[in-house]
Amino acid sequence: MKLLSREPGRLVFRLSKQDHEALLTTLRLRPLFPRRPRSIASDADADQNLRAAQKDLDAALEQHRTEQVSDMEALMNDEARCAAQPGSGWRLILNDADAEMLLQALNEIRVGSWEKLGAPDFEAGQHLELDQENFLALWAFQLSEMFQGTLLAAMTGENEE
Amino acid sequence: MQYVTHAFQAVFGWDRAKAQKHMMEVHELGKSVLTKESFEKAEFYVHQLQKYSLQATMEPEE
Repeated sequence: MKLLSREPGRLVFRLSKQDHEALLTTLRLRPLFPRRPRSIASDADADQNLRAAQKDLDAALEQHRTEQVSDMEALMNDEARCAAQPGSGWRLILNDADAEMLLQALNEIRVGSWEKLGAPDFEAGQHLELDQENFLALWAFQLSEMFQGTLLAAMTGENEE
Repeated sequence: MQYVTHAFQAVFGWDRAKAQKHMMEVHELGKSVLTKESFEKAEFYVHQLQKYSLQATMEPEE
């Protein structure tokens, strides 16, 4: 996945056929790696307002996730935004909202797969024994991290500084 | 870490320096007080941050 151009409100990437397949496959793994339930407060049972707020948060996140899965599918199937290029893979065009959506989706897979792996501390050099159980989670973690890094660098203009 | 900085900028509209300062607090201290708001506004910000898969909570001010 390579950034071709960056203008206000518009990012254009070139994806090889392999990139495109890997991105689609990674995004479709999302239901396999659900995030742990989120708490709105450290003691969300403490009072009635917080209990109600927790219910609202659960419902809002579920709705957000459902809509985002559907919107991501639409994005990747929309020829105006993600189109095969004769002989040169795919071209992915993202506006600001699409870029944020893809970033959030990739991060959810990255964090969800990391939680599935037992939240290992890779930065501290923790080694993970690979087996048939965790192989897919590690693959999803690494792929989502790679795509997320490329996208984030493009969004923030990191490589231009 | 860059992701967290970006999420803070997107949710709160902060400039990069302020977002980075709070990101570093999270990185080094495990948490950062991001804002002090009414219950409803705090709830809104928790929702937005959790959409970015960031672990955010709201606590009553002591």
